[in-house]
Amino acid sequence: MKNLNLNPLKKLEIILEGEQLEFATDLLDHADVKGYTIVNNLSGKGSHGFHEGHLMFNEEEVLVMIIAAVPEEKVEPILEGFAPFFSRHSGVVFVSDIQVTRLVKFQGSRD
Amino acid sequence: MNIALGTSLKIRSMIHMAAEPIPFFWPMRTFIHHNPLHGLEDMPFTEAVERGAKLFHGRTFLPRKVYQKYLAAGEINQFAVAAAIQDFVGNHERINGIALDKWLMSLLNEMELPFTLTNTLADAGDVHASLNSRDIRPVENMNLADLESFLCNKLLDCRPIYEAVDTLFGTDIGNELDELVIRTCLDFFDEGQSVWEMPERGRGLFAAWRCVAKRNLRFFLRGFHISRILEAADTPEGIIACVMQQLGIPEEQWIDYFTRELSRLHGWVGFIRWRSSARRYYWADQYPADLVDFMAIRLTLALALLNSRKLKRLAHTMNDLEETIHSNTIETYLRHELYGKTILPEMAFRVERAIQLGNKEKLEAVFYEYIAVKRNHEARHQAARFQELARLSGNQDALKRLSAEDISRLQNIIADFEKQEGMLWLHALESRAIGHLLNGLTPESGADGPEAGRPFAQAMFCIDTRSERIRRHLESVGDYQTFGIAGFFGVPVSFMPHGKGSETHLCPVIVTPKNLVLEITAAQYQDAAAITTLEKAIHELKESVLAPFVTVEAIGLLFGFDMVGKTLIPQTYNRWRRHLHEARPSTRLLLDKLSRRQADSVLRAVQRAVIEKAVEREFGIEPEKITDDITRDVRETALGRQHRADIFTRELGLNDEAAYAFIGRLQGAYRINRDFSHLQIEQLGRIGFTLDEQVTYVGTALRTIGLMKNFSRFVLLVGHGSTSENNPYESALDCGACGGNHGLVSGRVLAQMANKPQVRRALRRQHDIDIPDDTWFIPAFHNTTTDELHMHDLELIPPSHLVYIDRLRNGLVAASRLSAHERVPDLTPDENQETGPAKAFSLAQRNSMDWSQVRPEWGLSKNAYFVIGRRSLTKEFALHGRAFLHSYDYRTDPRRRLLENILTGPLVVGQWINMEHYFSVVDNERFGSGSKVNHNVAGRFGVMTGNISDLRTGLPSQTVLKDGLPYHEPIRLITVIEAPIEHARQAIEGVVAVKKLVHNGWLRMIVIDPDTRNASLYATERWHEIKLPIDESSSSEELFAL
Repeated sequence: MKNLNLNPLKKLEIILEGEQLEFATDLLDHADVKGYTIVNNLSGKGSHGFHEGHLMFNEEEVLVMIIAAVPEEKVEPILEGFAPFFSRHSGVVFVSDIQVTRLVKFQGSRD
Repeated sequence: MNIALGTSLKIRSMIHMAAEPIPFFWPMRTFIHHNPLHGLEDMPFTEAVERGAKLFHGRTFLPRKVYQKYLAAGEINQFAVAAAIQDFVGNHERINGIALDKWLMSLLNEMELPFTLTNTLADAGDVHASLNSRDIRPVENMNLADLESFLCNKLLDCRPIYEAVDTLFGTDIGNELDELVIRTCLDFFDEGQSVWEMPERGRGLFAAWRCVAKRNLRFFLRGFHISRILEAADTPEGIIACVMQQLGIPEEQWIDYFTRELSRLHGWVGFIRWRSSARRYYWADQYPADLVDFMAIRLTLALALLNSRKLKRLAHTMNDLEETIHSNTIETYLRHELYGKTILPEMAFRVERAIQLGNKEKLEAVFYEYIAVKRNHEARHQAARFQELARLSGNQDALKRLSAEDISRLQNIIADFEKQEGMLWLHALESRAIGHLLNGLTPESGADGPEAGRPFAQAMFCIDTRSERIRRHLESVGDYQTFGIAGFFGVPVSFMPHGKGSETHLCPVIVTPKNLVLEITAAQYQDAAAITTLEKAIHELKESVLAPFVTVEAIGLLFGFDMVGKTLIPQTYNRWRRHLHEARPSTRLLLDKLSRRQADSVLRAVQRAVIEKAVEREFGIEPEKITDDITRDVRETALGRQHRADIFTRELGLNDEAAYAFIGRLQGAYRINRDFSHLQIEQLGRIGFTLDEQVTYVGTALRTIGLMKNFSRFVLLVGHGSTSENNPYESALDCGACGGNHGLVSGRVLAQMANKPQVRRALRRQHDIDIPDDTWFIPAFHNTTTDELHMHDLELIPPSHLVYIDRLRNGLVAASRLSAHERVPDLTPDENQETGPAKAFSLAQRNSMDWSQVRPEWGLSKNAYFVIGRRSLTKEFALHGRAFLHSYDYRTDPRRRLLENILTGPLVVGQWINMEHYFSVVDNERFGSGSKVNHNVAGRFGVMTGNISDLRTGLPSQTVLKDGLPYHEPIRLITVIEAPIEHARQAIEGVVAVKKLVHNGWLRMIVIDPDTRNASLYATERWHEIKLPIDESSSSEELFAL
């Protein structure tokens, strides 16, 4: 593990209702975010009570999380984009510092 | 103006938010019932209908006179009405000598029109004067500030600017704009109906339109400066920002402004909304479009119209309009009256002339005269209503004694009452229906009775209301036990029919199936219609044994042709046409997962076939000369496993360069490369279910309906669908739980799984479900238009069972006939009142084949109830096709998971169906789709009224109205769960989505405890206990709680 070249990036963890998944990924696509990971069927507790992650026949009502790694300068525009949405919908965005080895995987074509 | 990324994303987000109140519109070939106010379900029902009425300019309750008809027919509980009035009166102050309860009762019972006049100039003093035959005091100096704020409110409150301009200047920009936008939509979204195709469609809606609009001569001639507007920015978001700024709309109002803009064409907008979020929708993948594109086009055209030569001089920004209202209040008011079509007819001509002349003094004189006349008119009008109501309630003397202040208070009280009136009627209608249901149910104690004998056959039907009749009749003709379960039998399947290249999702739309099932056959079968557009090469491949694999989307795409979709261009709404259907060979379903080795071998075979075709095409070599060695050599090279294709180069006598180029083309155009192979293997992984998945699905389905022991020799899995001719709404009559498709395939899938010995062994071991060896699951189809029941896959039945088949078939036929006999008189009331079952049965069949029949069946009309419980609860009770019945035995579900699944899946779908019917009845023009007679198919996915209109959403009048009056009774879905109250309550509260629906009053929820036989009803934010049976004449507070 020599010569590991680590680059700083920001990690976004966006949790919202499954029904809104397309909206969120569409926004990330338009922000030219190169990739993301989606975790389905989350359970947990929030302001609306406990959310169960086991519903079999309704995907719109479960919570999902989208994880994306983006350069720092993208964070603000993305949060600005989500602002009107979160003023009316439940959900959260966590932003944290991370490091990655292969930076090229995370840079959009406009960078 | 190029905008920053953050702003651009924000605009996308705003448009997403703005569109949320607009419901999805699914292409009609799979008609999806939905709640037109689904986007407002976060609000309580009472608030949402108010907002919905404003947003969609529709009525959300029936007109009073229709409720009066219900009342006269005894379908409304009059005690509930009286109780609600008492309740209202108790909460309002008393007025001297006025028997308010009598007044309100007369208002509801005998007055057809609303009592309250809105936005009047006449005040209570004027009405008082008019009642006492005095002259109304003239006004010389009116306070213009009030008028100004009235106008601002009317004209500028998030209304599109052009609507205000139309109301003030008598222009017709709004309609013209709608028409221009619809024409663009028709061109762009066409799914193969039109011969001419819009150029550049592949670039997306906005880009394609931009290209066309810049060169549109008609626009140019009319003085539209489209190009100038479009120069401002490259992206649709940029254009939107730019136009909104030019119109002078403050940013904090954008979302509401967008909503108003979108709701004007809510059908098209709902379609675009659905389409842009649909996964694997061929047309959306090819020709992408979203609401940001739509909004950019709409705003550009709106601005161009406002700026056009003809209209340029009119006020057309927010500031201009504010300024106009402020500085020319009088003229603006008169214009608003004249062009807003609220003017008194006798003054119309003079007002118009004064406006044309534009002389300020003249305008002022006309204005004061106008408001005097108008006030007089309104005061007389209101006084007449007072007098009528007083007469009806025998209270005329008291009216004469009222002071002006009393009049004002009384007016306010009645206005307040009329605001709540819709909910009052609805509650009274519902309480009658609740009483009827609860008194008919027969709860049985939860303790196990003596073990019943083994029924001759068991049958699972869809929960659909139309199953209720046939189940009842089937049970009546012999030893049959029936169950209700959502018609996809709990198995979400993406299905690819034989000979088709696209997938159909067989499950409620709130689920996306993860498993693909292929229909395959050993017989040679040719779908002539599907292949006409195909190239010969593909045709040959399709007919090979690989056919089902080749038609898998991903592999189909590998040819670089538009295989998916084009092969499948629907002849009539992409439905299986009847004659094709009949000619189909018997087929099997491939529903087991492929092993890795099988998947590899399929992929190899497909790649080999593609290579052979490519070599044949590019080098003109006969197929028999292309040996296996050559294809292997080429394939290995293309996949990067070897560097050179020596055998290929040698055998074909090519030079290295040509061979190299060919390999490159294979990797590119023919997509024989390593990355794509990985993707294809992933796609092949979607085919079928693992053994574990099959065991889970079968186990869950059986446990959900409480069928875990005492299995019959035959278990029928009955899917349903409809057949009618010449009916774009045919799919609306199909199975909602199967995403608006026929339910037969779902029955076949579950039967095939449940008949598998390995599955049964695992069920015995893991689920405590013991299916005897002699039990056989048979898929069947219930044709709801004709009531026929047909069994399928009979060739798979073990020979030992065949001796019983005749008895089974006879039972089914008898049930069909009896069911038709019960149903047909309602459908064709004039004909043959006295027909027997046989005649009724043939009448129903004739209906299904009649091209001119606008109403082949009543479908889900009259749906009212959703019962979740054991059959014993409803067995003795004929519900006449009004109830969704879901079997459920709480004793098999201690952790409430199954109940939660029923509530979030089937119940939610039932609620959508119910609300769709509700709103289609209360305002068929706005929320329904009007008469079918005037419908035209648009773009192959929807219908319009006449040549050009918004896409019509909702149900046609023929589905919900009869002779202009409601056939469907508009009430909220009355849901009953049979379980101990705590058990049910926890399940309801445990799922946010369901809790929201119940707490916000989108359905009426009742729990019946089978042990105590008590019912609990949720209303006014808590559970109320109701004693059974209900005495409908006692005004039970709980039942009628508002």
